[in-house]
Amino acid sequence: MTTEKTLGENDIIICEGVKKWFGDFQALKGVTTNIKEREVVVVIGPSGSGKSTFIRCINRLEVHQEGRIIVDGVELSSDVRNIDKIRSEVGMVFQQFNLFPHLTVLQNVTLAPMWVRKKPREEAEATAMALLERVGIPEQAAKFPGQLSGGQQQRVAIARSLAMEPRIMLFDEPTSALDPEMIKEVLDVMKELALSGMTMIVVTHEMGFAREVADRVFFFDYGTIVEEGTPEHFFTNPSHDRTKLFLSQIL
Amino acid sequence: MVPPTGLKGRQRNLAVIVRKQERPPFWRNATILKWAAQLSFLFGFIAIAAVVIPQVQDNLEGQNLTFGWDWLRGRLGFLIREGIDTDPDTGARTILTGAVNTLRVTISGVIAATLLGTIIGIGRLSSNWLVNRLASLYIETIRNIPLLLWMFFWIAVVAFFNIIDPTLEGSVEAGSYFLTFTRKGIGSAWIQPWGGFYQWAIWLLIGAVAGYFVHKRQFRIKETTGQETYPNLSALGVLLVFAVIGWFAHPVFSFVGHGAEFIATIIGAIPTIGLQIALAAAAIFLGYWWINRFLDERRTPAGLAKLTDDDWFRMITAALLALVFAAFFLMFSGLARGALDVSEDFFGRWLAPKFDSTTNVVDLPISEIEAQLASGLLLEDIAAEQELLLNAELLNLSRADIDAALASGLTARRIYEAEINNPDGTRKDTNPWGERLVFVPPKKLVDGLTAGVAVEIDEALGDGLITPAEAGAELQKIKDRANAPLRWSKAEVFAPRDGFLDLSPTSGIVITRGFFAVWIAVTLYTASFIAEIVRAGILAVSKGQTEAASSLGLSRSQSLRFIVLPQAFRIIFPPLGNQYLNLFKNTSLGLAVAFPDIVAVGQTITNQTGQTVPVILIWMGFFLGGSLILSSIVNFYNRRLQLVER
Amino acid sequence: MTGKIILPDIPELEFAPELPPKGPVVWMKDNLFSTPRSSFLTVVGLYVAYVFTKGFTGFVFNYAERRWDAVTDNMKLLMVYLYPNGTSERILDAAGEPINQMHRVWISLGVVIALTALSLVFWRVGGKMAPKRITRTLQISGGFLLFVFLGVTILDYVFGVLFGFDFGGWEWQFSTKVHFWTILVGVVLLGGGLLVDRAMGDRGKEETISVIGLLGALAVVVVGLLWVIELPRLSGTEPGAPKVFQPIEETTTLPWTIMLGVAFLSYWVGVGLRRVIPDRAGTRVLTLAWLVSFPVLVMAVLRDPGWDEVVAPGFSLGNYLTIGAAFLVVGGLVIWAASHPAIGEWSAAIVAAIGVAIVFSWSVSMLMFIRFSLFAVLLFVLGAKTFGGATQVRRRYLLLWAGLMVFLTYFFILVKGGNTVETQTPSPFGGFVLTMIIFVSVMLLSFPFGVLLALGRTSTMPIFRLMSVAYIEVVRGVPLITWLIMSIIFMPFALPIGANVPDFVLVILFYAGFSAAYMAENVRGGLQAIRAGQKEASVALGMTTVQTMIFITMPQALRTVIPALVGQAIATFKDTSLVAIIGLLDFLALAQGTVPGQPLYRGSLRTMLIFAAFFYWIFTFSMSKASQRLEKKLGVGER
Repeated sequence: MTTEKTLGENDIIICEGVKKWFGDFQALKGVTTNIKEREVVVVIGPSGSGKSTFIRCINRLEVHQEGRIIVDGVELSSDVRNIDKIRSEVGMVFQQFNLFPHLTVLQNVTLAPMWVRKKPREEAEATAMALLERVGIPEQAAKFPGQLSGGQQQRVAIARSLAMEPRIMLFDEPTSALDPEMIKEVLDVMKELALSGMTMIVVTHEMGFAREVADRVFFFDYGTIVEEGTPEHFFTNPSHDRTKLFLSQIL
Repeated sequence: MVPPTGLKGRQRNLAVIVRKQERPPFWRNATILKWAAQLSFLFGFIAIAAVVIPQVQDNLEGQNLTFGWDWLRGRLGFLIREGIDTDPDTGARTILTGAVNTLRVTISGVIAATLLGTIIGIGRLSSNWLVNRLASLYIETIRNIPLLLWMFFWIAVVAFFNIIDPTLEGSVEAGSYFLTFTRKGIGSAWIQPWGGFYQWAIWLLIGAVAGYFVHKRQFRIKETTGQETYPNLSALGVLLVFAVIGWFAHPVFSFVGHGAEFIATIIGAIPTIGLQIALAAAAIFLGYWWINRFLDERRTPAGLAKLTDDDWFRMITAALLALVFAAFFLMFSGLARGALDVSEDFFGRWLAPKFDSTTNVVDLPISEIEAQLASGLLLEDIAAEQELLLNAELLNLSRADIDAALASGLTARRIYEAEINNPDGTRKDTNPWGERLVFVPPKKLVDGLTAGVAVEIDEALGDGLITPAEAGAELQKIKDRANAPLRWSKAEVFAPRDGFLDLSPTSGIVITRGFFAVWIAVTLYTASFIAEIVRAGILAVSKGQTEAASSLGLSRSQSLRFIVLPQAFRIIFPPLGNQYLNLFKNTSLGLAVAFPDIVAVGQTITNQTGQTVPVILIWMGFFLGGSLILSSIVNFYNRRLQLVER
Repeated sequence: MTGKIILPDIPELEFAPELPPKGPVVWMKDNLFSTPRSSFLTVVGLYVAYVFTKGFTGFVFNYAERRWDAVTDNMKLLMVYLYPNGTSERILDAAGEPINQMHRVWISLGVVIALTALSLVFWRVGGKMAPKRITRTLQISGGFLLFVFLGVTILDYVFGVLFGFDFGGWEWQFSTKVHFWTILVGVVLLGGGLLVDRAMGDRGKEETISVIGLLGALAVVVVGLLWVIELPRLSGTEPGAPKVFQPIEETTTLPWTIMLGVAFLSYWVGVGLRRVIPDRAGTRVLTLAWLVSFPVLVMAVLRDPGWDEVVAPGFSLGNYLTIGAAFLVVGGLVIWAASHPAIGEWSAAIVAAIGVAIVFSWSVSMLMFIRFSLFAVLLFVLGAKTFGGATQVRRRYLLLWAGLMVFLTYFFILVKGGNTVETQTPSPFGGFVLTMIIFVSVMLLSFPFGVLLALGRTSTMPIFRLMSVAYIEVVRGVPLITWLIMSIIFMPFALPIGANVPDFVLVILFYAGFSAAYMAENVRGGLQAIRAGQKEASVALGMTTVQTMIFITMPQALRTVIPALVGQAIATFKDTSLVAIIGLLDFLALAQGTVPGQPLYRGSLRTMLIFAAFFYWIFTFSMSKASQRLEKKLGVGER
């Protein structure tokens, strides 16, 4: 993996012993990790292992019951002020895109900056158009999400999150719902994003992406990080048996 | 689990100052804010209630009205147009009559509307243009006109068919009919429960249970071996056998009546406070059991899982409810008292007499009646004399007084009426005997005698058409037939003294004008909605299903029966239940057409006694209870239908 | 590989498609007699249609006291009950002449018509319809007339012969002349429809006729008929005929023509305006106009408030104006402060303070005006965080507050300011006007309340959820009539003594509460149809729960739910008739009770019932047809 960037000094995300239950099912069994600024982390693992739950805890879409999560120096707790602040600094891209179907593409991207960051309309629209160009679909600005292909929709979703100028971007299986010919265009956008220095946590099955772009790879299983390491270490010589088993099933 | 590598080192190298874990201040804490909002809302609500309720009480007192439940025990003094008890003794029975009227209309309406709605719904899908258009026309017309207007319409139509004047050529005369219209309503022949019906019903019940087991067994044999064992027919056969046996052997179960009386005496002996304590204990136990079960669900092998505040809320609410109910039961004896009274009444006064084989009040042998008839008296007079004798003690008349009065030429009837009526003919207000007076109409002289037939016999005797001996033979025949559990009775029209024609209340079935108007309006209206539901349900079963079925070789009716209708039924069922609920509630419009359903009866009670709040509470309890029961039934069946799917 | 496919030499005629067999005989064979079972059903259907038509027409027409003049003479009564129209001998003005205030009714109607026409323009209602539908309607009506007037007679004879009994002829109290003319009209309609259909052929299926144009033409025809036809009426020389009965032609032909003119004028003005004003602004202004017009028309036009103590004891115009101004200024300052982006935690303190003030205001005796204004301030302060931000946005927010305060002041002055339109009844509303007032008020009030209930029902907070569920289940489980009875007999005790609330206001409040429960269930369906991912995406972007609700959840939910809402509106309209049971004199009460009770019109019950049924049917049928068109339009993936 070639890098034109250097990792930051600071830990932008710190997790200590994070545990989460759904009813009496324990989804996270004590996750402890640190992620540096500008780091790109890819999380892999079997379904039901808790990886989606993990990243959803980071922007407080799920509430962890034990342990601490500290994002950019602010601890996630039930403090109202902190939650909103965190959410505007952490962007999220979903597997199902979740664009707002009743608004145009441009309105999708400008909605949050206008009403959360209180930016005036012209400024928000200018930023939006610039972002749409960056993800490669400026001509779709006036269309509705239902008129776009899956790949285009996901790119709009990425632009929408970027419009809030986040410091961290979370990706929850962004390409799993796409047809094969559209996966590449989304991955290209994500690669460009990574190279430009965004801190990213990506949950995905795209091993090619992991090999090319990731600084670190986490293997999640049964609610905890079983193994972590650089992509070379991971794909050529994994240490743990479970890792080996999983990789043998998907590669 | 492999510990992540190198964490400790990084932790120590933190360049960022991390805030220690501290609770956020309460005005920013999301959890506290949420609960504060909810609790303040609840508090505001309670505060408003606390302001309004005393105001209501003040206003009520200002108008000299009170809130109380005593009127349930006392006599209200107005008659109800129709129902199980048209002259109720207590307020409670008044309400009961109204409620039963509502239920009568509801049940008959539900059955009729379902049948009609299904037919019209299927007709709406027919390929025959005429049938299709007629069904459409029906739905569009009926649905778009308010139900109240329909009720007014049907009441006007019924008046159109009313035949009042018996002196008119060709109008109805006294007699027996299959179907007749008089001023009281529509009379129709019907099968009636008669002597020993409930005992026979027990035989039927046993037969049904036996039939069920027989069916199960036959079905199992059929499934495993494949040979035709006719499970449905065998079950039916078993039921029939028991029915026939029961027809003759029903007196066997008369002991059930005594059993019921025994239960009634036991209930009567239970002290109110005992029941209160038992209920309070039950409430607390129920709360404890629920909380235990709730916690069990959250117990994992690793110990108790962390409880969210939602869980805590539920447990606290459950505990509070249990305590509140326990306190309520202990403090207010009225509920327990009422429950005991009602059950005692149910077993002693309602259930026990049902198993009593005799229905006549008077115990005169036929020969005695014949003798009296021969001496020139009519059945009416004999009944009056019996009435007088039965009430002699209450009226403070001795046997000697009665004999003297009879000897002086007064008929028993005149003597009796003189005692209980004012000189101008109205009933004496201060009637200290209350319910204890026994009234003996002629039909009570002989088991199975009906009012119409009694009048006929009297007329025939008076005109000299039959002899007393023949009358006696007729009465004997009637008495013999009285022991059959079912009786086929035609609608009997008779002319009581004022010359108008009336339907005999003990023969056939009487559908009053109000009942008919409400029933038909509600049936037609609901049927139009049911038709749309049925149509949508059948259409929702995709065409591919019918095509697949026919390609398998199933005939059209087979594919309908095995493929389309079962699937359509699953879709139809929930909205159908909803329509039944609507029908149940729509019967309340009977108020507008003088049908005494529970709302109309309640309205009258409010006007008479001024008790608005208790009546409102009764209405709410009745309708909510009915809705709850109906919804539970619908949900239960719905869940069973769904389970089969996956 | 190139190559050619060579067709065998077949004369072209063999490829020409054949026309399918057509014609009435073929149609009957296919649709009525295709299988033996179908034939049997046709015969049964004919018999059923015959019996019902005969029974129904006999019931309606075949009795001695057919009183169509009861309908026409009482039309004014049925529509506006005892609104003064210059004929009462008891309501006189200073000069001793009977007062006539009917112009108020016509003005209100005119405003409604104008707004409707403008709305038709700006919401692009209408579209095109195929001529085939019109010819089909003509054919069906012609066929129907023929069946009733001719077919039944024929069937009478046929079934009499078949079943061997004598139906005694078909006796009508219509003359042969009427028979002849209706049969002729039937033949013309049916035949004409068929001919035009045949002539147009397939062109008849293209959608070329403007729906609006068609409606306009129909309106012209109906109003024209008013000028031409003489409606049945009392001869006027009847002894004792009260003067309140005025012939319809004299009093309404001219006003209706004016209304027609207003409709056309507004439509054309709207078309012109639409070229200048963008659609969005236009629809917003119109929505506002509709919302404002209802209370203004009811309170200010139909009611004519007085502004002094003579009319409304205890009311002081100056007081209200002062209080309104005070709230405007002080409330404005508070809201301006609350919408400042740096307000932070102080907003919670402000909300708490206002909350205390509200509780205080409800626990002591105070003007309703003050209580409602306090609620308004609270609402605006709560929304300040969402709608605050840049100075320009805050200014617009403040302007909204000012507008609301002005409207509230105006509204409360209207309500409290008495009523100078004198009628012999406690309130000037009755008849169809009352029905419409109840209907519109209930729909307007139950919508926001229903949305709130739905939000509570789907909330994650247990107490709100429990209370919403309890409310919805209890309210829906009890029949509407019991709630209405409760509002009349119980509410007077719950209100403080001396609060002079008219009956129909209580009825409206309870009915709205009832309707809100049903509305909540509908909206809940819409809310649950929105994928959870939408809310998550919105929240992940940093939008607050309220913002998510307003911008994401509600627009989508409401769009899904509109057809169900229209269905509920239809049901509400029908159920307004229930107020007849509790003694309010709405349209049905007058038609079924008051009119047949008049000495001159005894025996007109059946006629009145038929007319009332027809009247309701027209409205509900139009509403359900409109709903079907709306569903189709919304379902075409527009937004």
